[in-house]
Amino acid sequence: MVTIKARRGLDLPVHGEPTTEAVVDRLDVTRVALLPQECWGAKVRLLVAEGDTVQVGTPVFCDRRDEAVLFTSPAAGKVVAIHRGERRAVLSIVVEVKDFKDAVSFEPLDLSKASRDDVRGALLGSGLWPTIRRRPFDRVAISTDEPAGIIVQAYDSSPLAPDLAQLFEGRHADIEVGLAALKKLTDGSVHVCVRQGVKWGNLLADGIHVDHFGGPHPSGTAGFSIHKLCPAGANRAIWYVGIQDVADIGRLMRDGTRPTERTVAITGPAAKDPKIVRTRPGADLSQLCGDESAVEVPRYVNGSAVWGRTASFDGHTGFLGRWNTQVTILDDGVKRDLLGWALPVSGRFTQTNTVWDKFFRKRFKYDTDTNGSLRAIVPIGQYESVMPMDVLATQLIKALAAGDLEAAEKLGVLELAEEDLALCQVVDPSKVPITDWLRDMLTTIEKEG
Amino acid sequence: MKILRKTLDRFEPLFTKGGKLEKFYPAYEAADTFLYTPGHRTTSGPAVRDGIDLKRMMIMVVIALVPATLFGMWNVGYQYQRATVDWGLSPADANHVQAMIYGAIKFLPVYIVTIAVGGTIEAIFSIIRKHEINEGFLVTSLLFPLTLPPDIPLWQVALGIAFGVIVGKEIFGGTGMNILNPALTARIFLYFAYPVDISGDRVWVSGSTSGNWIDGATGATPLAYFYTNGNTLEGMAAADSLGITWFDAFIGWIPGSMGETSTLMCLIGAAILIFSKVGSWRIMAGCAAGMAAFVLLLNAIAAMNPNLGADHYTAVSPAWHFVVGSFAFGSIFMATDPVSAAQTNTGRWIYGFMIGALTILVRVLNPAYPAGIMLAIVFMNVFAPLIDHYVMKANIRRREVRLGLQ
Repeated sequence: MVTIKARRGLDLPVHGEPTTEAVVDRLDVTRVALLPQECWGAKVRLLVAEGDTVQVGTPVFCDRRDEAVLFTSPAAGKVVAIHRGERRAVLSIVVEVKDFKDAVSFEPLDLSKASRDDVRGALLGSGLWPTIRRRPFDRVAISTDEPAGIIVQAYDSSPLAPDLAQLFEGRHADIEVGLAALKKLTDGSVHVCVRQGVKWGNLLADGIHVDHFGGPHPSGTAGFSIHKLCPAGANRAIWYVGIQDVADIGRLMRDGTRPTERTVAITGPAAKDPKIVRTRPGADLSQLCGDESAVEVPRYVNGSAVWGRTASFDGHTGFLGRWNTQVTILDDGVKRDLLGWALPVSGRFTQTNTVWDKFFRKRFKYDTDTNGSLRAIVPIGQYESVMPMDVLATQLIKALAAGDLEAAEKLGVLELAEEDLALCQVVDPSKVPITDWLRDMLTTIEKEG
Repeated sequence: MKILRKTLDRFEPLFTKGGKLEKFYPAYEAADTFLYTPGHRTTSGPAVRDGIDLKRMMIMVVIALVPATLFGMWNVGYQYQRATVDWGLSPADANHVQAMIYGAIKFLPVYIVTIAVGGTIEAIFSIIRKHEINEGFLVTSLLFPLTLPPDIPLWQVALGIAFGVIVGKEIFGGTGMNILNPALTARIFLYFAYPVDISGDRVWVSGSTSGNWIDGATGATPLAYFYTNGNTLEGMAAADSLGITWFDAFIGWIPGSMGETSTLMCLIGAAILIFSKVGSWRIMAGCAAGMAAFVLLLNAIAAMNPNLGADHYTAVSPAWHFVVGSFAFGSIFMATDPVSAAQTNTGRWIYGFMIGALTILVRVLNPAYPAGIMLAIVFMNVFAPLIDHYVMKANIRRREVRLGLQ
């Protein structure tokens, strides 16, 4: 068995790991929401209005760029609010939960007889389609895509990420069916990416491979798996799905229900009691972890410390993200330290050896300080040192900074997403907004494409 | 310390938009973030960031330069004592306090002029360009004086650093955009504009112009000796000649520029740079490999060609080339300037190797310019983008092959 190793990368020593592996039930949330803005560039067409009652599986909105893809409600209840932000972009559609049993029923699918279009139809209709994302552009899979391969990510190497192999224990039957359904969707192969050393049972059908990954972050990210197993390009779409979502797809195929549970880790240096919880998709974070923070000014990140989106309660985005397997709580109360740049010991971690805390501290209580101000790029090799892919990081980032579309495309921008360059931005001494540049570039390419 | 923070906060409105001194915001920002961490929160992208910033990075380079600077000051004084009191004075017997004081008197004015003139230009440009003052100048302003001879006229220092900062850096857009190493640009300008004060046998030891030298004293460097006398090591070590052995050259108590004579101190600096991951070990190793390869080639030619022989310059060993001139200083501190060097890992190897080889080429085969490394680095600065271009092309090709486009 060959392990694909990331030779470069960085495991951030973030404090706040779950102390037990036990999964705590937190199914008692009374508000859930869909967050259209987490699908990059979504142009929302609302299918419900404020005050409408919805069932589990009722279509709530679709993306005007690809109207076949329906985004459906994860709960039954009443639509109580549709929050809008700048230029009336829909930020969140909030559903006050009645229960999770009143569901639109879907037809189970016998995969031995079903055709590709049957599977597509089932996923599109049930609202599970958006669990599949694609490269290039890192957006929800397009309903007309013919993917050259599908990556199933069963290993997350992000700091404090839960061990995904444990989360799907007991759901093997679902996963088996889910993988078979995915296999129907591609002529290429389906790769299940697991952590080095994980034993994968004998649930392998034809054309489904298990690949083992090892090494530092980002060894367990979809971007790295795609790069190593089936590279994406302008006319070569690759899909990727999380292992929990594969289990959900399997469940849908088996008995026609759309699962309404999701297991996530609540972690981070500012979390009172880091743990793994079973909760609802799109759960209200103020209910889920509003009292979990140990600091005065917490920041809730939908995702890991390295890459995630800030969930702000007053900005109407304080809900669990669709693809997340973790919520990170960080201290947002940044202070100004006297002569902070000169001290050899400052309580902060650095990938270089210019601050020495790392030699006597194992874990760091990260806060959201940038630790420096914006400067021109001075390439001391910091980007390369955390870039395990065959991508010339400095050159690519400079092309992004200059808005040089042609060069960026040649250097591989199409196979990348924020999570792949996030580590470069973390270690950057110049504090330049790399992931913002990347998204601007991808948007431009998609528009002109 | 709260008072300090409060004072800074009180003056801030003066410098922000709409304030009376709005134009001088870069100066306020520099002072403010010098005293306190900026305290910005991450707004987009990753929520946490690494503990390093440009200030810390540049200060690491300055720290790495401190051993060479201190030793250099002492050496200026020691060489002066040797030339004016006793040519046979051993380093251990020198009057160290006097040597240090004399060295400081020679070095500090040059350093202060560099900071004052270069810093002012830097500040003016950042006010015009409306960006913050960049910490890169901390390093440039220390590197430049270290490469100058002790008796350099201060007006030349001012002119040199002005040329270096403006032509070497600012006309390209400031730190991060420059093609040439600004400190080296400044030195090369002086080297070609005023060669009398920065080359020859008399400038490398202080006091020659004031006429205090005793009989038999010479300011010749080992490099100049090799050029005129070839590979005659016993001759050089003789007391009535230079009196310099390999060990002397390695430790660095030999005539030369103010801060670049000591290979040992440069190696300490290299250790700091490599350990802290601020300097590129690939470039340093590339330089050493390129130098050694080219010298061995010359040695082989000397061994085969009876016209050259064991006494010829081409027969000087790599070990000697390593310790004489400013090979160590240049390849450790100058060539590794991250902005003007090659910026791909493969490119860094090639870039370093070429610098090492070109240094020897200029040193040994081009008699007009003994200071080969300076020209080699600037030459390769110009070629660095080309090296990167080909490394990029190879990467692009690999990607196309993977995608089946080729």
